[in-house]
Amino acid sequence: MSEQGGMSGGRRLVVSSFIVLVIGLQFLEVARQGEHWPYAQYAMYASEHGGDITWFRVYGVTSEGEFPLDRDAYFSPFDPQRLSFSLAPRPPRRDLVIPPTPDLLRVVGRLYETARVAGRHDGPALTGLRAYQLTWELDRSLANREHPAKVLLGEVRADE
Amino acid sequence: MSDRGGVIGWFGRRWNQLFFEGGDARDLGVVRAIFAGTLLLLSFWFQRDFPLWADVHPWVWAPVLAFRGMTPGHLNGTMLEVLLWTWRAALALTAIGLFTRTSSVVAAVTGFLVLGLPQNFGKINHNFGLVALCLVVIAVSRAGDAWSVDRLRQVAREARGPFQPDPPRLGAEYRWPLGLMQVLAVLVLWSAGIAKLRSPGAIAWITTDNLYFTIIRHFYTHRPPLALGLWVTQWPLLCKAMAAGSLLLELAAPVLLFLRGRWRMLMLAMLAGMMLGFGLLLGVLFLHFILTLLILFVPWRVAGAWVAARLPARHFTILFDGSCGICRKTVAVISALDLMERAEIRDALGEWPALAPRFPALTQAQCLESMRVVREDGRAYDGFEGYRALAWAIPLWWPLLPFLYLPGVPTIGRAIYGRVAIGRHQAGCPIPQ
Repeated sequence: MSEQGGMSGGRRLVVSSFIVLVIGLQFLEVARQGEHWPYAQYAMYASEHGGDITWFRVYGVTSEGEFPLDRDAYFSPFDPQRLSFSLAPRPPRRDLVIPPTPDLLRVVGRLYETARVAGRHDGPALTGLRAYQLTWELDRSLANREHPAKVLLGEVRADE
Repeated sequence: MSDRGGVIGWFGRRWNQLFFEGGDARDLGVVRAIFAGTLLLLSFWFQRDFPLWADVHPWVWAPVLAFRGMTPGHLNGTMLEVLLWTWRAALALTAIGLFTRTSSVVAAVTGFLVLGLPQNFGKINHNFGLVALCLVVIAVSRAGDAWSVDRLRQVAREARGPFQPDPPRLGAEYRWPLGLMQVLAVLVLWSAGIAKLRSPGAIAWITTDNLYFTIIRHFYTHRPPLALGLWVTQWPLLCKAMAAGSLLLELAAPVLLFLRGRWRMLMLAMLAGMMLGFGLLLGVLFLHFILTLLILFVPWRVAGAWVAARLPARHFTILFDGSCGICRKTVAVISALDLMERAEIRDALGEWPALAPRFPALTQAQCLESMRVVREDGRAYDGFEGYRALAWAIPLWWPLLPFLYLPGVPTIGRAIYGRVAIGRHQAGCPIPQ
């Protein structure tokens, strides 16, 4: 056997300090309930959930009506969850930039059209986009999934 | 005073056990190779649309600490494409262990940018934080000292004297990086458990219909691949039991650091199974985290030895000219690649009196003229056929095996070997008389 990875006392102290720093930052994040990527408190499902849900979604508008843009392929690199978080109202904060909802809709429309032309999805060409706040009473039969209560947040034409 | 010493002593022993005892470069090297290789493969799906972040403007810009000061409006699709492919190239080099220090540092820096940029647009994805930290740990460690092309090159350079098998490299330098990554991984789960204790509180998490409603919510907001989650919600009591079980597992995750053998594998399977369960029930799969957890805690050398013991055992004896520098480098590299230890390497020049009775069909002159590979049934090969026979015993060469038997390839192989053999003699490595 060959001892190639031996460590002097000084080296061990340096490495231990580095370890304490890296791990300590995670403990600090848990203590402060912070989210400083790549550190986090990982509070993914740690919230109280009752029998209703509010969600935010973009709908595409065509001459035949509107349909939900709820597939990743429609607006990649976004996913529906990230989109909902972006559309949800939030209190002002330093270092936080929130463009008006019509601006966000134009970006989604641009991503949708770029993906459609590139053949990444088979959705129709849109005449407009709408952002809604959706509310459901949870039903494990999902009978009302396609019929949420909707509040219009913003609307743009596709050619804007 | 003795109590404090006892506590401090106990803590010190656990610290040493976690970070400084029992280090083996092979353990760290195989984790490096599998982790970087897995990230590289996954990047072709998960980061395939990374350059499109340049088109997400104006958007909610909630920069994480490391990206403050950055202006998203100046992102350029070409720039992001270059960044992505630089990361992939660095991961590839890190996986095979070529220029490992440089490639792993580049992989860590570019990976931080590739994985971190999407976290600034209004929501943080918890799948990638541990990955970014592990890349940093690998970059500052000696992860290229084994299971790497760098090590093979070093073995070849140092093959000057009589052949000696490449000894395992041991020591604390190879233990602390793995220990640190393992601690970070279990802290992710432990932190999730602590967050549940805070809100909604342990009692509420277990006794209310919180998990029941969480599962149903995901069928409104996501597209779970199966209806398994809805099926489970038929039994609210089962949901409560699952909530209790998941909270217990998360809070107990640090125990994984101190378990060994079957107990470690059992707990690892439970933790990975819990994360997979989230994916099946909720449609949210933390794939990078699950794979990182498995990569860090599976005892790969034990697993490899288990597999090797069940493979057909073909043993070989390699007889080479010990005075030839090229031959010494060659057998040194072969020995380093011989992970299943199927090849016995012997010097036909210095050891012939002991070898002759074992190989009556061979002469010393034959073995000195060209390296001989002798199977355990006595069949001997040399040249291209010798390397092809050896390929059965060296796992890294197995992908080449079908190719080596294609029509025409042996002819080309013999021609190449012939040129190398002539070159060896002309390069000052004559056949000893």
